Amino acid sequence: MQIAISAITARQRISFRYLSEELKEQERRIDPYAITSRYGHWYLFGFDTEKKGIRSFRLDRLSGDIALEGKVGAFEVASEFDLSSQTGTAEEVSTAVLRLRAGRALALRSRAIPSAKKSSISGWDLVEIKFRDRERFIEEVLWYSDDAIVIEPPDLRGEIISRLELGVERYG
Amino acid sequence: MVKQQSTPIAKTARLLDLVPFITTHQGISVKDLANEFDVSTDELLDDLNTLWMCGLPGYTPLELIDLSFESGYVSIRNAEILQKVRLLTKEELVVIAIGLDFLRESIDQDRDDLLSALDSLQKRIKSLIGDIAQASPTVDSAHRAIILRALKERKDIEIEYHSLIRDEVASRRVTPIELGEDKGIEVLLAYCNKASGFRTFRLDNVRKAALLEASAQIANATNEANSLFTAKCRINSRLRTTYERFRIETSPLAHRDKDSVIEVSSFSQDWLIRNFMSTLGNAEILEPSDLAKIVGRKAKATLDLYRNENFA
Repeated sequence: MQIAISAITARQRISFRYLSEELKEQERRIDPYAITSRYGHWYLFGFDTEKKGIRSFRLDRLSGDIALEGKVGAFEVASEFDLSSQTGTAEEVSTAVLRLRAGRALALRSRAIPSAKKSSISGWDLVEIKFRDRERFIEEVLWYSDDAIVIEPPDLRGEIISRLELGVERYG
Repeated sequence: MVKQQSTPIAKTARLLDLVPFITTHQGISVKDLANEFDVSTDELLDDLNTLWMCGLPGYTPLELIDLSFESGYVSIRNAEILQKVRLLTKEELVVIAIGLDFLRESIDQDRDDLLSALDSLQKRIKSLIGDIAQASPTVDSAHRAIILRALKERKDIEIEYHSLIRDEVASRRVTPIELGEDKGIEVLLAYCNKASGFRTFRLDNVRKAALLEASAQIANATNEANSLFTAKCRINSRLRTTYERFRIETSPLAHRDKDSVIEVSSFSQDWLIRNFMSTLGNAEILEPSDLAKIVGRKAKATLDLYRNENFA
């Protein structure tokens, strides 16, 4: 983390090995922009020189040391990057409408706002929840099984239904 | 009168105040200094021993606070060096910016004066380094402080705990055993009176914590917590995230098939069931079959709601 902070302040390019979603080690090279802690983990934001875009990396998924490359002051932070709103990063914010069983799905509920639409089923609340990482959100909704039902958007609802069908087919 | 032990925040504030005070009251007696700061002499000596290890970056003996108090009279021998104006490096400013984020979380939200002082300090730092570091602590440091105090004084605490597995917030009286870490998550191991057994609590899910006067006897601890549920499963996709979810070590898979069969376990069967619901698209239960059946029934019940026209 110390190397990351000093590379960010010196605007010096770095490289490191990163564990991919397929559990393969990748060599990544980035212009480091910022660090932040979210959900109890440290993340490094930067411009990925091969993917040509801003990416984030969870620091505990780095293997080995961070290597400093090249000169200090080697890059300028992209003007569209804003750490607070994470704009300029790959994922944009979406909104889903859900029905939550009254008094259940507490973690989802804590981020929810009541939906403008009228809920007509007693024992259920209609809410809106914003999410950024679609896959993470699907997994969170499924965690609450029959206490949290996605109404909109249709593609998200469809994806959850097909996973439930797969579950019934495998284990039912 | 026995003086109450101070909280970590009060102690830190006192440590910061002690240095300028001693500088302008060189040679003050330990007793007078303790009276001035309204603490016992033992606690003051504890403070001085801490200060003795503090100093300025560089941390060579030259920059450490050179205190003398063995004689019963306190003085700082290198006051001139400590009072020199310092320029902070950008790295140091980043560390301070992160520290201020943590400090903000632990301050009483009614203290507008402190919060606005923090804001203006943060603004000044960000004008120098840019918006390059942010921390959003997941654990309330006041809760951690109460747990540490309970451990030290062997007292029970009352916690309001959000259990993700039970999907409920409930109040419990617990006897803290130790603070630890589980795959990057701070946890408290404690004896829970409600469950009559040892339980692990994630600190980020503690909503409230209060110190109780006494400690209950740990008796009749059931062995219920000791029965471990294990399942064998195949992870088909999203390997890294799914391994992390099931708390499996994520080392690079070299020369292995894309599919990977692993064994996962937990003291809570509900935790396994919910995790297998979450990962319906990425993980497949191979055994035991009764666990697979429970997950299948849950998936069916959920799917029935999706097919119910009221939920369209």
